[in-house]
Amino acid sequence: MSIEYKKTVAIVDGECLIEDAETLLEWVLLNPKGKINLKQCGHMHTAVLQVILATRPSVSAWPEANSESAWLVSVLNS
Amino acid sequence: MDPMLAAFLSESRENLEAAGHCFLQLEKSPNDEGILNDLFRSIHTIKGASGLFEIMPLTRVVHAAEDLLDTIRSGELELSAELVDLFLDCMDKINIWLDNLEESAVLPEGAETISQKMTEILRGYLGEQENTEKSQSSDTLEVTANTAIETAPEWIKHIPDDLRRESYLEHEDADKQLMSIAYKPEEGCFFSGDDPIYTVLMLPGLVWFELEENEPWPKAEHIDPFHCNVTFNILLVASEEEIRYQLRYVDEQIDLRVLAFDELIFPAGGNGDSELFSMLNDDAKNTLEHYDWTKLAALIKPVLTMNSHELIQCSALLWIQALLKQKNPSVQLITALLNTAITGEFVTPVDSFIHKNSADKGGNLSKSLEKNETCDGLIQLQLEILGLPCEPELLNGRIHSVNTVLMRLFEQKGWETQLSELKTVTEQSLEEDSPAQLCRFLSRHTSTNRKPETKQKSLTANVEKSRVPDDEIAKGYPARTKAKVLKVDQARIDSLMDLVGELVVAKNALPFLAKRAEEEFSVRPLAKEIKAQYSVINRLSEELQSAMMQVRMVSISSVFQRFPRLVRDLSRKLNKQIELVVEGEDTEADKNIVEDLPDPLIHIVRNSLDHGLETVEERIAAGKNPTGKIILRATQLDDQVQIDIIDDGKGINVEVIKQKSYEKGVITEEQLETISDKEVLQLIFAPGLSTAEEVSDLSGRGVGMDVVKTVISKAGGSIDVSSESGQGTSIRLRMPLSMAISRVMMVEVCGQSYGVSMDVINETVRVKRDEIKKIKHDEVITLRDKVVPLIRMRSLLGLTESDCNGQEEEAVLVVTMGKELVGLVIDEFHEGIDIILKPLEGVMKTSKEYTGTALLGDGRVLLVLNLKELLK
Repeated sequence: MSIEYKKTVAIVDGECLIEDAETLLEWVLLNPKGKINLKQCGHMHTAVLQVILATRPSVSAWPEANSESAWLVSVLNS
Repeated sequence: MDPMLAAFLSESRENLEAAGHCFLQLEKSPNDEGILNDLFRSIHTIKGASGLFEIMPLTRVVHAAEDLLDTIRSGELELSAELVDLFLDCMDKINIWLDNLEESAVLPEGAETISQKMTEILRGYLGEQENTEKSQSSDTLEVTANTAIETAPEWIKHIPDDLRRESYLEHEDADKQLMSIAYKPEEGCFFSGDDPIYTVLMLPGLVWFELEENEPWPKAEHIDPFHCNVTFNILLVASEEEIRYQLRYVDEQIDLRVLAFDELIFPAGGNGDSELFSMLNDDAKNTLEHYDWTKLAALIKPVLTMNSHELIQCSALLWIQALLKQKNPSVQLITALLNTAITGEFVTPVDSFIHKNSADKGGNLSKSLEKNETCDGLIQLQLEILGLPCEPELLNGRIHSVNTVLMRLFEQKGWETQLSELKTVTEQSLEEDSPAQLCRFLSRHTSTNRKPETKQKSLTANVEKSRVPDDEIAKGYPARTKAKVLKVDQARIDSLMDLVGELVVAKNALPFLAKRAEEEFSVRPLAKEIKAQYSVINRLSEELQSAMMQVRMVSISSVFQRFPRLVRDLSRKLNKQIELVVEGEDTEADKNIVEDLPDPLIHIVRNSLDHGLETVEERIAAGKNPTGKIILRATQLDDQVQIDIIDDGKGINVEVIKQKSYEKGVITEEQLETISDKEVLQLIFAPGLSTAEEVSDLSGRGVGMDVVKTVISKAGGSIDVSSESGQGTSIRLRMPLSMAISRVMMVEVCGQSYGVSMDVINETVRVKRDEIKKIKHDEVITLRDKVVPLIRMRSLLGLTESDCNGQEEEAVLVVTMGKELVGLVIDEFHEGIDIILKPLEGVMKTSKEYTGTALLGDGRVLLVLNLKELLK
């Protein structure tokens, strides 16, 4: 589990596995206004990405350019 | 070696052979679908299996060949002799690579370059096909201008301007193609452990991708996180092969299109204040007329620095900058972009895709228009265009454009009735605001047997949506009938063979035992019983031995199979018409023998083709059938295979051979006068004699028939030639059926036993000492009025010379050497026995005086003499 769930923000740190998809979804349902911090995100499994695409939580911090998950910026902003 | 690789090698070789066979058959009957399917299957199998190993260059070539075959199979391309040559060349290369793989498990250096070259050539043919299609689509663009480029997916517009430009600049790299992929993973793919995004991120040359939901996202509480609901739209610049290879497991989930790099060129952005850009107007256009690209670049630069790059005008200018970096920028494109910079609107130039060698392509198109296929393709394309989703306000324009294309096509073909029908149908369609009428009309006019496009999209319900049914595809791959053949490594058969041999030897010890029981221990009943048991074991071991021989027997067709190809290639090269007749392919012989055959046979057949058979003109002048004939015939004699190579060419010129032999010192002047024609013919086997006027790359290098003869006689065979001037030449090979068991006669010299092959023994005689005469220093005997030179084996083998064993008579073994008889003086004859000859090993390996060794029943080792070598 590489997502740390706080009251208002879910902080992704490291690789997101398929198991994270369900817990993230639950958290988003509980905290509809919660934000997500992707700064330290490593690889993100498609299922997790789907949850983000479908629920569109606002992103509090983006991965850095040239990081492993830099592509998230363009994918989530298009 | 890796067992998987070994299996791949043997399977691929078989497949290649089968494919080669198919190609030659196809040349005779090019439209035989069965053969084409077989061929396709062979190539397909090789490709599939090759994917298991790290041999990308090989896979790539096979893949390209497969693709090309596919277009041939679908009737889009005709299999010309030139193409067959190309295919055969590729297969040769692959064969060589397979050999390399067998030796070192890797492809040789430079395979990559060769592979690229070959793939390029193969793809070149495919490209022609694709280009014609492309130029067609640009034709439609002429009238549907302003609508999206047909071949590129809609979402290409989502790609940021700068990324497109970056990728565009890569197009100079000839190995790479621009591709769009729509990858729609299966809904349940997460359950099988797939992470599609990982697959995408791993793609080489990934430029851009986006995710699109297949179904609108449900409300958050209804989301099933394990149900994949996205499609990836991907843009890549990489080699298609590589990408296909990477995506081979999700092959069915992707829609890969190779795009023209030009499709990337369109400016994007918001419309800005055009006044800023109007200053470019006159100056820039002026530079266009003079192709003054440096000046144009200079003009653009300051404008760009002054403006925000988000404007479409700037985007256009940036594109111009990018285009100017090319060697031959397209004027049309630059003009169009310049117009965008001034007006803020972009109009795709008509012939942007064919600006490179457009003249050539245009010619191709009108030529291909004559074919109905192209015509069908055009109609089909219009159907597709009509089927594409479209805004209602654009529909009219679309119908108009389709109408224009069809009108021109029908005019070109002179189809009057269709032309008038088209007019009414178009009017109806326009009235109804629906392309349905037009679609129906078009689907009537594509010929029914045309293979429908599988990716055809049609929104109009009335248009028949025809897909190739799955079972029809399956027909192309009929289930392989399982031949009941067991493939066994030859080494295993050999070791089994050795065991059988040892059994034979062990069995031979029993009579010795019986003898001892009787003589030494005087138990006669036991001796009798041993003998009885021996006869049973003997029978069984003989049966085992012959069964073993049967296992080793292979059909000679494996050798003959390669000749159609050889003859075809050479006859094309030599510009002769030659028919090859192969008879008796089913004849079987021991594997070792069959394996020895190809080289000598190839040499002989080449000789026949090169020197024997005449050119068409010569044949006509000689009143012969213009097509020469070569017969390859195998027949089985008792314990020999006979192979005849007969041609009906000009025959061997005896005088020329005689003269050449004399010049080269093969025969003396005296012989020149007395030699018979038949003897002259045998001279072609003499070393260092080549009669070809000119050294060609086929034959005539002076290392010809003598090598053939050596190889044949090494394998225990013989070769004979007969020829009649003007009528042709016939060469006859005789090979033993099996080499594994040979019969030798045991002889004793100086207390040591030696084996002499039965093949050479003529007779055994005992000669009284006083019958031996001396001619100068050489001893001779007269045998039935023939003088036979004597050779003392003791001195020949370097053993003690004291030959007086006190006997009145000498034992003389009369053997045939070539055509001559020679008497060998030995100490004693012994019985003839069957032995399994083993080649010499270790330090003895180099001694040519012995052909090998064999183990005797009582445990002794028998040396088998190589008389040919000894008596040289």
